[in-house]
Amino acid sequence: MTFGYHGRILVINASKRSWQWEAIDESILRKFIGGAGLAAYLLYQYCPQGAEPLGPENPLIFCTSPLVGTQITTSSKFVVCTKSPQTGFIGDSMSSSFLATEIKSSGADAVILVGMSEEWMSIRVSSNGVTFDDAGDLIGLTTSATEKRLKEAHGDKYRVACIGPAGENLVKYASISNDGGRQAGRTGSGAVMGSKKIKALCFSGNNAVSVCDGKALSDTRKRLSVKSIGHATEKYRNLGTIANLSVFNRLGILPSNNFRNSAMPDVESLSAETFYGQGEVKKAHCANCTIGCEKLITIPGSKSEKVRMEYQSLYAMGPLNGVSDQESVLKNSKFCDEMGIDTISAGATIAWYLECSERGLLESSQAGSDASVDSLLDLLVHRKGIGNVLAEGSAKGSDIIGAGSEKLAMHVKGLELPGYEPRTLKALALAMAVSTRGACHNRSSAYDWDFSNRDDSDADTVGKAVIDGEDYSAVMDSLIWCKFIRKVFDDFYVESSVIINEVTGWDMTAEELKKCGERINNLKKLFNIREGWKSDDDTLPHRILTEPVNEGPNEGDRLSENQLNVMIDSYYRVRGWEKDGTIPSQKLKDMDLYTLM
Amino acid sequence: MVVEKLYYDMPELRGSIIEECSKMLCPSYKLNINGKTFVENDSDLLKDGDSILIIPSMAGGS
Repeated sequence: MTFGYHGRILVINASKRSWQWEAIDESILRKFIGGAGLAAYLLYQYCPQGAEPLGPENPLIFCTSPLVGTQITTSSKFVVCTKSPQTGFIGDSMSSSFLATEIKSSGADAVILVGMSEEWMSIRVSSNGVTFDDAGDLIGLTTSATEKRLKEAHGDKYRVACIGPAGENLVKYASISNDGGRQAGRTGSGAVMGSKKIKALCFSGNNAVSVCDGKALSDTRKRLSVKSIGHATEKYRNLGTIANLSVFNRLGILPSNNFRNSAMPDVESLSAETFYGQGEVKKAHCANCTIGCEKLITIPGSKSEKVRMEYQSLYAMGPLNGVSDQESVLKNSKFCDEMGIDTISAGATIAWYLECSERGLLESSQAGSDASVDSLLDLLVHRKGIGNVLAEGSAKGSDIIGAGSEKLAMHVKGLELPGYEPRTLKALALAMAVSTRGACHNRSSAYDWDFSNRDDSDADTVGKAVIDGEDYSAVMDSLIWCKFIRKVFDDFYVESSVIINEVTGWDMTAEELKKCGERINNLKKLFNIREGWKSDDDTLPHRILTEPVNEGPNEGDRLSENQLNVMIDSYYRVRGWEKDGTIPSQKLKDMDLYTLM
Repeated sequence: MVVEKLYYDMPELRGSIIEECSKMLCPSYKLNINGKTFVENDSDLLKDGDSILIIPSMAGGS
């Protein structure tokens, strides 16, 4: 028996309404750990080459980790992984809380959904097995209403992952919601779930996880809990990520008006300080978390309706669309959560569309009479009128609209940009260009490096910094730690390897754990290469590479295509890859990946 | 010197933002000069008339 794991995965076939357990070897678990790493391995194995993202062959994977169930702070997390309908490459997204524990308690380290049902259904997974229920009466319900209905039907012991109307309508950036509005937001896993006609998955179980050294782990758990409420997490515990908004505005790195500007003059109404001044913020925690970064803000004009706000939603529904009206931003964020869509991609797609409209690039049939963010959100969720284009995202949308609109579409590989100015934050720019899941800030945390005054660093140094950040993030996302605990560790790899050994009984060293991170990133790249990745895919939007920052403290900052390519070349070289970004055979052998091919 | 002066002038920053013993910024905070340059703490780069911003090095959501 492998401590910390069940050593098996559950494969559910939605076409046949059948399920089976499959064993997973300990050597695989040790190489890929869990979470994003194990999910990438399973995607490589279960997704046939060239599978259509919204077709029956594409697997939808829910993966836990060895730390889930141990009650270590911030570890109640899971990853959703699939071939993304936005990018055509690997897509993964993290979410948190009780659902992670129940997935693991059901007796599986990972659950894989394959096939495609003919009728809408929900699936219950428990220690006793799998039950398929008709879900026709759930269609059209919001995410919170779906969760409520299923708990009423099956009991509170079940935790629910579900899609909203956006997932039902195959909006390409639909999310999967769990535990009262937490989202696996990015890369469109909700559309994949919708394509399988699975409205919801409900998990409950009593398969407790066994750990190797419970006494040592208990001591570690207490020690880490104490450290986790120190100054390293104070910012998350107090203001939360919404505090980024006014700071980024002061620093001139807050993308506004579809990245035409890097700051917005009247944005204080959306600052964390304003929300707190109004006394409308309630703090909340995920399961087994001592930090409690969540900020639930009461929507003005409502009696007590609250929305879970993060910086990225604030940015995407606000400044990115030139909106500073508090009520509008909060209501639209809530709408996205209830309909089940990624706020970043939704906001960026609308910002792109509004600029297209402003520049007269739309045909009359594409221009709407009411071009407000809230009306466009409603159209895209239901694929009505121009919403049918917007539901495809800015990349595919610009293919439809044409007329040069692709030059205004702010995405990488089809995934829209998060709220950071890449012309100023150069390491983040490189990280977003080469990221296997598209424009992503969370798979490298490269902005950490940019915030350290290394403007004059050479390309190799930046490339190395991005690689270190990516490998570090891959380990965090595989164990799975919350990113917000990262600064609590004095030596991340040493402390994490001690913990995983206490859980599993292994003798993993810090070096072995670090190599896992490198292996996982190579595997993600290998998947993308198999699915048709070309070096031209590693780039940034036209605007970023052709227009300088036009105001503020960073006025004049620019990033040319040549500058970016120099950094990308260095990144490939330091990674040990070929000049065209492919992975040489020897590197695959060094990473123990060669046998996968 | 600036951070140390802030320690004495603004006691509310003590502990959570400026360390009690070293009188330097806590490790999770940065000093930004004129909205442009990030430094860990006081720096030779600081000149009279500069504006500074003390910021937490914070990430976004998932």
